[in-house]
Amino acid sequence: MKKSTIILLVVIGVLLIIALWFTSAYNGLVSKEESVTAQWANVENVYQRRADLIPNLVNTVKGYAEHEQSTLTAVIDARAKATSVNINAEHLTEESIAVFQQAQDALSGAISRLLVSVERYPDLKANQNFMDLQAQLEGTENRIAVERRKYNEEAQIFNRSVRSFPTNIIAGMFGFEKKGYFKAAEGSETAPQVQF
Amino acid sequence: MKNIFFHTYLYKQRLWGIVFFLSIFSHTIAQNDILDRPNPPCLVNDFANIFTSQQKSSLERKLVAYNDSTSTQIAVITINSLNGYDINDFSDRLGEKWGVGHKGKDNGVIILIKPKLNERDYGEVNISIGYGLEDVIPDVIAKRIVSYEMIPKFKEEDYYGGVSAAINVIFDLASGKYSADFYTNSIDSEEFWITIIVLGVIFAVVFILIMPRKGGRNGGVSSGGSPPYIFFGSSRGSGGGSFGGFGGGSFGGGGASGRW
Repeated sequence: MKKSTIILLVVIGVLLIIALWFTSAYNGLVSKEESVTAQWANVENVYQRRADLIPNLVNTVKGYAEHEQSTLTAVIDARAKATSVNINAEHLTEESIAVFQQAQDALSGAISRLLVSVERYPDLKANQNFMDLQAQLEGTENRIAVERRKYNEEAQIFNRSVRSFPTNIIAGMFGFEKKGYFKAAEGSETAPQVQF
Repeated sequence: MKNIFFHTYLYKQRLWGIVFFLSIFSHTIAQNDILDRPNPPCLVNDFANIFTSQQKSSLERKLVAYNDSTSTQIAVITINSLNGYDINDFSDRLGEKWGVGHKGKDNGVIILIKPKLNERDYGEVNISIGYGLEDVIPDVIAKRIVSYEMIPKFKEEDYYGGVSAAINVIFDLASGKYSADFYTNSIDSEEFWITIIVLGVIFAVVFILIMPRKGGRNGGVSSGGSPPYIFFGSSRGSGGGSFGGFGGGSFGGGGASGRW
């Protein structure tokens, strides 16, 4: 075999290897980003689930605790604010997640204040409908914690490959950006304490 | 003067060193906070020793039989300390780590009990429902199982009675949703053939490894016996039944908890 043929073959081989690596690295980033986006949808779902419970909760409490009007209004307002913050799953940046989280945490705070204030109404606490709502709310808070944790894990996997060499070259070329995390703000990681 | 500065410098260095090591240390602890999966796997894991051995094997038999016929895995775990976690958080992480339920169906249930250790202590119980069973056992139902089936009996220290009652309710609710037949049929043919090929290759390798030894030495054959056991996940049949192992199910925070 001629020397030039060998060189040609080697060059083609090397190019092929580079092309293969390029494809697999790019596809890896795409699939990791897809996992983050899918997990974000789960996060939105569980927050929506909580928002859906609130009208029922407010109505149940209203019937028993008419003196808690201001607490109830606070919950309704916080819910309106929280549901109005929607993030495009393409732009899960540090800032947009912070805005989302702030609105949702404000709602968490309002709900827990409401649940504390109803402690004074024994009739309400003994109401089966209210007890069921409390169980659902508690379960939803758990789901929020779980899905947020899973989102952070997926985002971490993605961010690691975006930032580590040599995949970061491809990430830079095609504009893959680091995803934001949920932060454990004071008390936001723990569900509102419900006493029975 | 210089001496003092030097000392504070050294002190600071040391402090940072300590902080550094503590952070690494606490990190590793955080990783190991959640119990490791038992080996061999069983469905009843009584780390807090609240069941007698008969009660334990009776529960295990019941749960293994249920797993065999419906593929739904219900794990009962008792533990004396939650290492500072909320009980539901601990339970979800544990379920995820052990993989209770089957992958793709997520039909696992965890009943986690932290018994009341003394008069000033309080007991805690949590039922975690895998993603796939959330519609048949919604939070409200889980809450009722906790408050009406378990806690009244737990208050009288009848842990076995409470757990049995809860398991019976869960059996009724989850029956019909998944059956073992459904599970075997749901494996698509492609996966089936890949499994056959992989098993064939493993058999061939084992065969080749064992063959020449038969002629010559009879020595180290006994050690060759263990890998196939691991491959096929056959348990050694501890206690009542022979539980095949956990299947990689996932948990999303569904369920309910209570205290007494």
